[in-house]
Amino acid sequence: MKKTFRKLTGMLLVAALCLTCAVACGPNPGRTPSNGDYEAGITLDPNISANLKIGFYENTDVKQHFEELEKAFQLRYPNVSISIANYGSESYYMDLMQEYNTNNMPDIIQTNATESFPLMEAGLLLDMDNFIQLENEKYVENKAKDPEFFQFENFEDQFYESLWKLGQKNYDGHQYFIPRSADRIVVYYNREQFIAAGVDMTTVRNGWTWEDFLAACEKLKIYYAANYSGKPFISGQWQWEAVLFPMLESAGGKVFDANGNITLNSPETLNAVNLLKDLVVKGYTKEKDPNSLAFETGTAAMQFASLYPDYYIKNLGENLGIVTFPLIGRQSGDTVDYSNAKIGAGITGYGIFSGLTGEKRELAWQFLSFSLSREGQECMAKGGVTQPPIRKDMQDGSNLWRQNKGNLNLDAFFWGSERNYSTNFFIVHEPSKQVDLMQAVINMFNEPIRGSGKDPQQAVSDCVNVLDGIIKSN
Amino acid sequence: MKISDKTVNKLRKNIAGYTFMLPLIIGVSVFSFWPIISSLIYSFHKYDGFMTYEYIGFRNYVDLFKHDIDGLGKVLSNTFIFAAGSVILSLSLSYLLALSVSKQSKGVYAIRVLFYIPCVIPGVVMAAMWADLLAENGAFNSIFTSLGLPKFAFLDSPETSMITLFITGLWGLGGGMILWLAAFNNIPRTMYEAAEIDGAKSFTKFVKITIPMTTPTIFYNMITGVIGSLQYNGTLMLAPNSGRGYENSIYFISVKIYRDAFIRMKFGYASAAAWILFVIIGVLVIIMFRTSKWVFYGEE
Repeated sequence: MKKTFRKLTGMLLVAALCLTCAVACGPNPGRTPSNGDYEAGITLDPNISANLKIGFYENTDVKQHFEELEKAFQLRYPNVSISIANYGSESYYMDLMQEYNTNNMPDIIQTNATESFPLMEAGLLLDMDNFIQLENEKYVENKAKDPEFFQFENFEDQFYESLWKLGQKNYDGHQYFIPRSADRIVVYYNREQFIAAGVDMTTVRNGWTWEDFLAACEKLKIYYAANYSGKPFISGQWQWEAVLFPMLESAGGKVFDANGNITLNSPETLNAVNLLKDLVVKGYTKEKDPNSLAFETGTAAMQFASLYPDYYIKNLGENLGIVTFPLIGRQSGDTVDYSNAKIGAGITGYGIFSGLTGEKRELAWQFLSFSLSREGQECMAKGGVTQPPIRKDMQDGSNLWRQNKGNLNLDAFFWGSERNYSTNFFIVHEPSKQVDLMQAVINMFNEPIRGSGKDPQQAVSDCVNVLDGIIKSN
Repeated sequence: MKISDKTVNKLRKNIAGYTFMLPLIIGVSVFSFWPIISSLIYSFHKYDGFMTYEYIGFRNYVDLFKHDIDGLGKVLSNTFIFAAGSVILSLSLSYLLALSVSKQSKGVYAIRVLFYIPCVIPGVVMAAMWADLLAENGAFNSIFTSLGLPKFAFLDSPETSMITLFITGLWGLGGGMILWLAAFNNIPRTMYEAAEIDGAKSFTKFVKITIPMTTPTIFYNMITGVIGSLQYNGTLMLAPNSGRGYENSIYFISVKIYRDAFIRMKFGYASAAAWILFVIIGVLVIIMFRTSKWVFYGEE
């Protein structure tokens, strides 16, 4: 009897423990999201007392730019403080998840054009359209009073449209985050080496073509054979979607049609893959750069990058040159048509946590709105953000980001902004498949230039099979 | 319910013991029991770690077998091949290594230390080191090139990546060697002396005494080796294509669980995969125990 009682008690305890765990193990719902369904306001009491927590993933020290923003923002809202939480890029989603489940989410969340979809899908970012609508109305009112100062159509018109849209759902819809700056792929080159190699420098200008680029490469190949034991001279970035996908798009290759069907297996795609393979076959570049600092240290003549020049100026000084990404044309009879050539662009920016309510939500918007103002953009430049401003009216030399850059061709960041292209082919499928879809196409480019070198047509066919598997999967 | 005086007295008498046990019980419950139950519950839900949390029954399990993005079959076959290869190689080679350094001779301690030193290196450091050594222009290929040999692809080719992993795994042979040496030392010397009196040669002594007497350690190493290799995720830090190897040639189930959870944000799905791995390991361990009559535990 005693034994049975003990057994029963034991079983009951285990059952109770299991039940407790089962209840406790369910995720914490956190704060309720209020996407779209909320009343916005942009007339916040300046005496509001609050702290705004900003979560970001960048490894670089962005503390200083928030400090500069905070100082200037406190002139408008003296009782508001800013705290920052650096989560690190590798574990960003995990850290956010932990914060969400412990009700400790940052009020403002950093994200970027290609990685924002899972956050939007998870419902973490606030649809900011209500605030933007109010800002547009306010701008139009102000413009009526002072049309000389308010020179744009409305609030949104102050920013580069192609980049502003990257903060929208599917790049064309509701605004979930706003850009911090204008990031674009440009070609950094070593001016001294270009001249020594005998490259026709009149061709190295914004809007130069792939053919101009190849002609320069041929000269550099000879120069590198004589001076650098024939080393490759383009520092490779061939795993980077911002470089590869504009090449595919420019060549006319399409991964999916509007219905999400695979349309990759085409002569245009093959052309794009061959563009990269040719660079390797001719010895201009390699799949992997044996020395990631080759360009900075002067042992590579070119690098495709979006980093702002300050980083390179430190090492290369006056030898640094910048030019736009070469335009890739499509053969049309005897001529080459460059009208569809694209240049990789992307943005980093900030969104508002959808669980914020009332004045805190308005305050978060006010902070973001301030960061978009001329004053805010200058604060960020002062604090270390060296990418070009997102505002159209800040290109001239009177602004901080242009200063101390000598005669560098900074217009390369803006030239032909209608050609800006951010990877978007995956938006016809679920956001959870984005990473795998992108990786599959990146592999398609890389397999022919790696090791023994897969046949480009085979790489395209294999990629189609992989994409098909991804689409059909759960 | 009234607690009897006897029970109360027993509790009082053992209160110190229970108090000592309490931290462990709490620790195990919170850090082991709770996550285990959590993952089981998640595996029946569509859960993205944030707001999406809906019950979907066995769909995660069905999808894993029918519509998995990576092809579960391929991932599992990679895992089994790796487990089989690495366990057989590491067990046999570490056994032979231990045998060769088990005899007392000049310098043997130094050799033992040399073989054991790699086991002290942290995994992250080791991964970074291997990545450098095996790179296209890394140390190994530089040596090959200087000898006029062609470069070897190592992890950069689907054909050579698995064999490369087997070779890198041998780095830790010293760990197994220590266990074997301990097992050898536990064999009574009298057994060897008796065998020598009976005229047994070295090979006979090895087959008839050393191997049978070390079967418990062989069995232990086999079980832990199989479990460890089925859970192996070292490729995350080492292999190209985000830890999967080219053409998913070294894509293992633990790496898949990590990717599903923390890159694809499908925690329910990843939990289901984790439970499948748990069941596979459980079944294998049960089979190994059921067929362990060859293990000699002494006179019973």
